[in-house]
Amino acid sequence: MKTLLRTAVALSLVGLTSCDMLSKKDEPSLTDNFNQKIQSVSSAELGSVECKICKVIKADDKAEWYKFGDRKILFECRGTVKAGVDLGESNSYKADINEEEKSITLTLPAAKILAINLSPENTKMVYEKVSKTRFDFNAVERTELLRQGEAAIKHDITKETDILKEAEKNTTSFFTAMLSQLGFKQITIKYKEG
Amino acid sequence: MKFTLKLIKWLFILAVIVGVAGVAYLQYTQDIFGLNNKGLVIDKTHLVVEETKKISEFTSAHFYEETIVKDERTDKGLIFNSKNEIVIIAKGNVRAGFDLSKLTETDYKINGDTISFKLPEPQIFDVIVNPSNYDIFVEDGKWSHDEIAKVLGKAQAQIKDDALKNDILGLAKKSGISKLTELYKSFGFSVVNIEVDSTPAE
Repeated sequence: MKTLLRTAVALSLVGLTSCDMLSKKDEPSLTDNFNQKIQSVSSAELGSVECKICKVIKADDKAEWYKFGDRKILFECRGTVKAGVDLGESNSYKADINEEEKSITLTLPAAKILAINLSPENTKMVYEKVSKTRFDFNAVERTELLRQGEAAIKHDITKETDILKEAEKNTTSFFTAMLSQLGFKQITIKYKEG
Repeated sequence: MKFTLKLIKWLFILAVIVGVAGVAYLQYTQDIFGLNNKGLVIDKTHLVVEETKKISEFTSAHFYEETIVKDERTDKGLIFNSKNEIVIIAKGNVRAGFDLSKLTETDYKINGDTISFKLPEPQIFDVIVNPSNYDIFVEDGKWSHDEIAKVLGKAQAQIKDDALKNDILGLAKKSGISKLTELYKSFGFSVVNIEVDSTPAE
């Protein structure tokens, strides 16, 4: 009997405290002495084109059997994308020079995207509509949507625009001007296949 | 005896009700079963290129940092005030180097197989903290998009500050001179003298 009583009391206590116990997240020991991971790396990237881009990121979270009402959200995301050539890797470029003819053939690596900068201040939430039966989008959900937007930008920038062609055109123009200043008469710039 | 059994029965029912209510509360506040964001997918939209600009940025140093930023806010309630907290773990990438568009024809001095020129001072080009670079670690209470952007702005400023403290411009200068010397030597110059315009100061 006593055991039964103890069990019942224990169950009640578990029930009463479960809410509070489970809702408490593991408190992180965030101190000012947080061990920041820092790394400095040298590189040699020649950025030759910068595009200012804009993308609408929208999501429609429709009602399902387990949720009533829908939610809609719309962001306007602006950022910059830089492209050019990476001269940092070993044997990434090669110069064949003919001293007599003052000619040079410079073979460079194929252009690539060097940086995508989607600054938080340039991402605006322009619309949000949530049914009364649903919760507002929280920060984690908004971040997940913005991440999907970023991935879409990374995909679209090379598939839907000529940024890499433009980068190679500008790099050619940069090296042609530079090499002609250095006294070369015949200048050929080639790119390795990407 | 009868009373005790009844008490046990009611205590058991109470425990079950409180337990179920607790789970429902957690689902309501923290979405423990992940039902709310299940299948949250963005719609396809077009990417618009608003402006294209020719640049000549020679990035010679990167600085990577993972940092924690947080903010607190107390909201007044009818009975109790609630303390809200947001903690974000942000990873940033700082790119620094030389703006070679500032180099002009007259900057080059060529004497036989020796080339000398002066680079402009190194500068920071970008401080990148993209959505894929940060995680919302703690979100207590309701935090608007603008409030989160403000906290992320703090992370950006801190990462830039730390990059400068860790002498990213010094590394950019050293690495830039080394990489450009290598490049100009490949153009046939045996001596490459590169100076930097002034002491880097951001």
